Amino acid sequence: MEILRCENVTRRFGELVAVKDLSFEVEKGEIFGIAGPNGAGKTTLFNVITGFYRGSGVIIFDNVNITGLRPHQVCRKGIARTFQIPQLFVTLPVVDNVKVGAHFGVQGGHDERAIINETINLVGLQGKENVIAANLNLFDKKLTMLASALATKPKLLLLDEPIGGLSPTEVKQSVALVHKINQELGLTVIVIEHLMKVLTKISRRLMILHNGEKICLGPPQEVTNDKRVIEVYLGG
Amino acid sequence: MVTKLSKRSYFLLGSLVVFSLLPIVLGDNRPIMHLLVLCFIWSVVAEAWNLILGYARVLSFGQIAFFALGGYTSAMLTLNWGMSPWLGILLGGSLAAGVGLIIGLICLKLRGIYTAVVSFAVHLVLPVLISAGAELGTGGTYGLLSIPPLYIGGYTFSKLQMVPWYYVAFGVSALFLFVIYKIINSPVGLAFVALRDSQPFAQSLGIDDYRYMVMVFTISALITGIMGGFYVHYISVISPSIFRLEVFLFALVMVMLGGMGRFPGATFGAFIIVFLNNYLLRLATLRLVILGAIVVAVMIILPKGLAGIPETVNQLLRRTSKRRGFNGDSQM
Repeated sequence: MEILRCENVTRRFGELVAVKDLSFEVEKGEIFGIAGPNGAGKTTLFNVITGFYRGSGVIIFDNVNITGLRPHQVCRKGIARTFQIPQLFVTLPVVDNVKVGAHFGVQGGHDERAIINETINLVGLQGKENVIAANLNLFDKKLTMLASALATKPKLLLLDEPIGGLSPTEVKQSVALVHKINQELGLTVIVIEHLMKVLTKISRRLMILHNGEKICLGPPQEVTNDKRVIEVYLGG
Repeated sequence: MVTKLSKRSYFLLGSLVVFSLLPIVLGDNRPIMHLLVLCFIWSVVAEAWNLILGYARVLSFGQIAFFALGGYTSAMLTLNWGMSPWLGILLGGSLAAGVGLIIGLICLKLRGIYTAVVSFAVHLVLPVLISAGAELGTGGTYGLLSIPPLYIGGYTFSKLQMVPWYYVAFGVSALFLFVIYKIINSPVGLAFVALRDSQPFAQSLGIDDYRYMVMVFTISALITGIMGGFYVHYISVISPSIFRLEVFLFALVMVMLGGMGRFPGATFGAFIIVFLNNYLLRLATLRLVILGAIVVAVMIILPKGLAGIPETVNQLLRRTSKRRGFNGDSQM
């Protein structure tokens, strides 16, 4: 069963077509990887899905047309995201960063306190609740961003290069965390990642973008053996 | 965190007690009482500016315009239509809020310096309209005189008795400072700060940036407009000279000196500027030079303002301890 369907999504910046007539579906409960060289349109695609950019085409999430919704509305429909360059409320402590998600991102009466504690524990930031976000190291910044996103109680999580710049140990922890989120919380996850080794390991299906176009979509083994993918990555 | 909060509430409670008892110590010392009343009024104006500029980081340069709108509205309603000053103040505040709301709507998609341009345009246009509108009862270039004072029950406030003025000004400003404090510490204040620190992150977590842009302009304009109304009934005159650059800069300096986004920093700033300005009055225009120099010096030494002193000191200590090779508590 599909949770997200993009139909003919296009986004231009002047002459440049960043995402070109892109159609694909993401199935409920899977980890869906997106890879491609720099400038392939991966982050632009995230920005179109989450309402930061307007594009043409149709985006259906959970059987609801979310095309043209603004970012906060997309969030409340159940899509959360993280950012490639860590975005945080730098003057606020970790707990307040997460509180923003728990307060504004969740619809209906929820126990805010409980959500905050749960998500902080889930990502492993307990004990750092009162640290001002600006003083965190990169890994903890990414974890805080993730915790805030999870506090909105999403059904679909978009991760934009979650392991960029991390040490091998931290990468291992992050991968384990993504698995946990996918399996224990039952969240569908879309991951953009440069490191193919990691991506092929965690994703059930993989989509390769090149110049805004889909050049291949399928299980990792299939994709990594695809001639066009090899060409794009090794330069043909 | 917990101790910090209670420390702050002790401080607030302490100042409440001190200011309540001050007239007993000072007696009816009119010059000082007058300055304190001005401090109370300007501290609210400065904190309302701090709310929009420091917390929401929306560059509003329309604050003095909101102040004047509230003042002029209430003055005109009471003078020309014999309305009660209290009602006039409320209507003046509402009109200011309405203009704030409109500016907020215009600024929805604007950021940074562009909101400053739009809001300052109002500041520039108003004195021209007021000067030209003498026939409508604005008082034209000369302004309005003999604006009636406030009254409560049968008692009418008078400059000859400063203690009642002191208490009513203290009560009104304490009320609005409390309101601002509550807003800052509410989810609304959290949304302002979240949008300030990272707009995309805030939006992605469910915050509607448009809504809060309009809200911060409306709230800040409402409170500022009400204080403008209160001010004219206290001072009893208002003229287009309220729009002169000096007033604008003094209020802005109160916010910056006290510490942007650091409640109650702007209140400290208001007290310092009002008193400093008064004691430097005999120096005539040299006063502005000296005030300017003080501001520059403070901004260089204390970039986070007076309310940011603990933070600035902490940072300095951390930096020196790091330099000496200690394992500083950089995590805390």
